[in-house]
Amino acid sequence: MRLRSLIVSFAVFPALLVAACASAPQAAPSATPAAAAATPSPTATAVKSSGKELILATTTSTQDSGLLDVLVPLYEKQTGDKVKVIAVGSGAALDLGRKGNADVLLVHSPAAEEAYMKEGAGINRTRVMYNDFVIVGPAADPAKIKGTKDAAAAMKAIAAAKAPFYGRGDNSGTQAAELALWKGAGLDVPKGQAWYHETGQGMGPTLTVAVEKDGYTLSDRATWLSNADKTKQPVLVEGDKALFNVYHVIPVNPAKFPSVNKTGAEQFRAFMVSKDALAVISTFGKEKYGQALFYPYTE
Amino acid sequence: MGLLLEALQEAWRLLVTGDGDVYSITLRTGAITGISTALSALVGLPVGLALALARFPGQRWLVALANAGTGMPPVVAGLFVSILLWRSGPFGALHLIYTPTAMVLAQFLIAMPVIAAVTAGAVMALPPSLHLQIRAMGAGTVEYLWLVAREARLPLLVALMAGFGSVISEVGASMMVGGNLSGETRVLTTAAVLEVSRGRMGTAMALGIILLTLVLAIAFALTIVQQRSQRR
Amino acid sequence: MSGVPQSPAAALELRDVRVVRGRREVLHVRALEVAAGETLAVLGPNGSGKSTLLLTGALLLEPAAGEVRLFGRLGAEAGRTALRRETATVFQDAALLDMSARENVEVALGLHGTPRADRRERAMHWLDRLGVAHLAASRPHQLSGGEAQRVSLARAFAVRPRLLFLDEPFASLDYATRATLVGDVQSLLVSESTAALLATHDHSEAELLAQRAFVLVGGVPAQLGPVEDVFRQPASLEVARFLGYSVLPAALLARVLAVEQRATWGLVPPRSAQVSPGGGAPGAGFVSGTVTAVQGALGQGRILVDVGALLAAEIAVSELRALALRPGSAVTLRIDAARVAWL
Repeated sequence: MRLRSLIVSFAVFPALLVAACASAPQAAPSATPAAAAATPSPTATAVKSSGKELILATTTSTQDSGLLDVLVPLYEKQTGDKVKVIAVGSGAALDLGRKGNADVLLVHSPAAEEAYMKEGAGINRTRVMYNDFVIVGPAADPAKIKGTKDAAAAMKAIAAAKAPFYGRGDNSGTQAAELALWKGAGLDVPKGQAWYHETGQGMGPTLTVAVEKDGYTLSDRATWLSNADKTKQPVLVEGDKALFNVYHVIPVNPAKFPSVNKTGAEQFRAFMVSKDALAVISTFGKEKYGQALFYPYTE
Repeated sequence: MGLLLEALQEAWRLLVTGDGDVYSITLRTGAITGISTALSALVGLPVGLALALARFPGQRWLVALANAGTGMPPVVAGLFVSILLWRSGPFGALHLIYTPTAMVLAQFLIAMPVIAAVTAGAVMALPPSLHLQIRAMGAGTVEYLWLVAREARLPLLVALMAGFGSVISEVGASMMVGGNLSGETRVLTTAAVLEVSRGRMGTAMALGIILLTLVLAIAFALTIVQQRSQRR
Repeated sequence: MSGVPQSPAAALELRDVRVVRGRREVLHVRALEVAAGETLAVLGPNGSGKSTLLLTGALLLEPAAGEVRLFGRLGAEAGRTALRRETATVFQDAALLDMSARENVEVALGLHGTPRADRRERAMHWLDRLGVAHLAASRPHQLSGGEAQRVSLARAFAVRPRLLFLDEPFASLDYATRATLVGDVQSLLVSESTAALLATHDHSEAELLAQRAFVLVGGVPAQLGPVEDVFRQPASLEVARFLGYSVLPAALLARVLAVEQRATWGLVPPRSAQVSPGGGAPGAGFVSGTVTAVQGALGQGRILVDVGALLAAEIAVSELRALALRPGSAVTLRIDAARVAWL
């Protein structure tokens, strides 16, 4: 009697399993409403499947922008390859590459990337695109940085005013840029000071924290466009060259890690600077935000 | 207030229109957690019985270890499994990283100690004369274990619920070993985190509501079974 | 200690058995036998090792040293389960499994190898013989203490054991339930000719159910022999006190009874002193004293009287009230010389 009920409840799990298996084959990704309508025709060059899965390590901001939701399916359609997009911070992505746990990287942390290349962990580092960082903050702007053209000067003003600032603190490309700005302002990283905070999280949550606490933060424009309340958290500083955010695609060095999918990695690298990819990149976001989120920036 | 309302509205919309993605994510969540709980029970129940009944040196330490295991931080389990399954790890050649199998593995590491510890506690709480009586009736080892487990079946059900509960709402390990890949390893918890980081609170809320409903449904079903068998 | 002529296949045999708990030796029995078909009562105060002896005999507890033989076969590691299938055990708490009464019996029958088809019928038969057939579908929590114990007994007898271990099975029951149940068990033991080892601290149970008695005090044998002999003539002061005798200096008692003093101690059974109020000892066999305590046990009243030494006398509660006896009251006791034992 009771035993039967126990068996029945156990049957719930296998039933779910069977149902899930039935629907597992479908690998349709969620269609981002903001995706550009552009569906470029496949290039004439014959691309073949590398036969293996491709692990692409990239950053959370790249994934959150939604760009990869368009690019990756396009690539998969062209090559028949399966791409696994693992979104972590730039630092973590580079680390995956360093240990050979990914096949190709798409990151935006130039200083760290150079160190990475020096270690010989990657090959054929190729510039793909850029977008920019913006300093955003409360509309009241207590540090009075609105309209400043010099990003470093703006950071100095924030420090002087001891205005609350929220950094990523997660080894990401954005954090690297932030640290470079402090350095450029001639300041030590304000870690430990009462007005300086590190969220340890991605850009979206960091923006949320900053706006709740009336603080300043450094964000990439794409995430700001898609996440932030523009009136509550406006852009205060933009356009400085120091705020450029450059993306590179780096295949992991197969000589160092024989188990990487070197054909697939190279194919993906080539794809990222191909006409089709660049077409997608240059139009992505225009419809939803009125401006493109990324700009092609090939060598 | 406006955000909450908007979130609830979005949740309702998603649930009512039967969004295909949400549906498959829910099924996948149920399957992965169901399998990992079943495996954890398959191993955890006998381990718990053995911990409670067998006599061997260091038994007390092992029981303490099992009890400690109930506090296993999921992130640690995720890290451990990742290290094993990464290409750079000993089992990298199996290509199991970022697959549902890896998630089942990590969840197993979390739920199994829970089930084992609660089972051991339940069996140890049985009156000692019961153990003697069962053996006195002429039960061999297998029959003995079966009868003891049967006597403790209600607390064992609790053990199952505890094991299930410990993994259904887990996100750290699932994210790390599963990679939150759309269509493959995305489950309710990891999807919700992603939606939050994208600022899509309504969708995140919807996923949360579905998760809660799933948990409630299972808990409800198991509680009914428990109540029916309860001594009144 | 008197022994029993060894029959070829004693139901139970213990040789040089020592049981240790922690660092203490809790039981040491050099030799003990239960003959086929006989009931041996193991008596002793709480903590004397009765249950330990029983569990060791039932192969549920492993002794630190010594041999346990059931039906002539050594209870070694491999054969334990097989040997247990020829015995049955009843504990003080009925230890019923969480299922219906009938299923409890059926499980036991199953473990003893009864074919599935026969189990139900045999279970019902035995529940009926123990008078609880109407409770066949009841779960343990629905049964009273007495009913549960009857189910446990049905479960034990149903498997036709050659040896039955009874570990104080009546101790938790109220007086009336106990009386009926003891009677039923007695007739079953006779009709089934089952050997039995009964642990109890109640000597009336021993008298009713057993042929021989084995008294344990502090884990060590104190007396062994036919029940009447043990009760009639305790072998030591500890046994005497356990059985409820009052211990008086032989000189004093001899003077009271007007007999020659032959031993060191005089042992007076509690029921052998008649109480009358007032002082004055009218003659031989009478002694006066002062009540020092009024007690009650098992519906009976009991008074302790200082007659030079403490003497316990049983007295009906009604009479106790009628005579208005209190500590300090003067009473005269008439002792039945025929029932006195000497040590």
